[in-house]
Amino acid sequence: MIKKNIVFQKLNLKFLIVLFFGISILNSTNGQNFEGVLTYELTYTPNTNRNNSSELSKMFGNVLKYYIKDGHYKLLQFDNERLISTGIYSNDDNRLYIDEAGDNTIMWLDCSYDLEGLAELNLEREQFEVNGYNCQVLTITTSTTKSTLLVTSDISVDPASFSRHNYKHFNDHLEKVNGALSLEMIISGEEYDIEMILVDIYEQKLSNKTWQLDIEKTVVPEPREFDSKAEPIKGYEKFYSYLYNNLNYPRSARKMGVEGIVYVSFM
Amino acid sequence: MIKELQIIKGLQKDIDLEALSVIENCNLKWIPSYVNGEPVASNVVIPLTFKLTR
Repeated sequence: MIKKNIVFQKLNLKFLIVLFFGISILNSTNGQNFEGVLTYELTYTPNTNRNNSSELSKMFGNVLKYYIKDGHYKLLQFDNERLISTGIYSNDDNRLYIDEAGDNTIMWLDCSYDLEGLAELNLEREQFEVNGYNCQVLTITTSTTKSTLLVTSDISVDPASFSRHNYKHFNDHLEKVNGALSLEMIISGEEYDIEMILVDIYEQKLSNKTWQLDIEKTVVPEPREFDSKAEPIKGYEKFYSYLYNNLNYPRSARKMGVEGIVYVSFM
Repeated sequence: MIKELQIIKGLQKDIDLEALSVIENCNLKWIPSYVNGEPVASNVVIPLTFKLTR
C-alpha cells in the first residue's frame, strides 16, 4: 500500500511536470524564441482533509525553476530551497528523465506516445495586457483536472522543436497554439488546487551541460503496462539464431581478446 | 520497423558497430507492443554475447 502510494506520487509529479509545461505553451506571433530560466512560486489549497498544504509542498515543491530552450527543457522542483526532483527532456532521444533526490536511479519515459486521450483545450479569443505582457486565457479540461492559464506570446518557444513529444499530447498542444509560456496557472483537481505564479524571468544562453544527467545514477526505463510486449514475428529463438549466424567477430576485437555482452536498444 | 537503434552498454568500438549492423540488417519483422488493443512503439533491449572460440 505504501509502495503504491509512492508510485502514485511519482506519477502525479510527472503529470505535473508535463501538464504544466505542455499546456503553458501558446500562440506566438513574434517568432522570438525564449532561452533561459523561468521561476514560479506555488501555493496549494487542499480540497479534502487528507492533505494539508505543507505536506503538498513537501511532495511537489513550492518553487519551480524551468530551464527552457527549443527542443529541451529542465524542471527543478524545490521545497524551501531543498531540491526534490529534476525532470529533463531532450528532443534528441525524445525521453523525459525524472531524477528524484535521494533515489539512486533516474527513470525515463518514452515520450513517443501517450496512453490517455487528448484533453480538451479552449483558448479565449480576448487579448489583454498584464504587467506589460500581451495575454490570453487558456483552459484545459481532462477527466480529473481543470486548469486555467494566463499565457503570453511575449515569452515563447518554437513548437516544431517539440513535435515528437506525444507524451501528455505536448506536441498537439504546441501545434494547436504555437508558442507562449504562462504568467500564471491554476490547476483544480479532486484532491487539491495548485496556483503557480511566474516570479522571475531570466534570459540566458543555456549550454548543453544544462541537459546532462547525473552520471553517478543508473538510468532505467519507467515500467509501463502493456497488454503484450513487442516480439520478433517468428519468435526470439529464430531472431537470436539469425543474429548469431550473421555476427562477425571484428578482427581488432579478436586480436585484443575483447569478450563480453553488448546491450543494443531500439524502438 | 526498427528505429532509434543505439548501444546502451558497449564493449569496444568495432564490436559495437558490428552489433548495430547485424540488427539493422536483420530482415525479420517484429510484432509491436499493444496497449488497449492499439499497437504502440516500445523499447526493446537485446543483449548480444561476444565470446571468442579458440
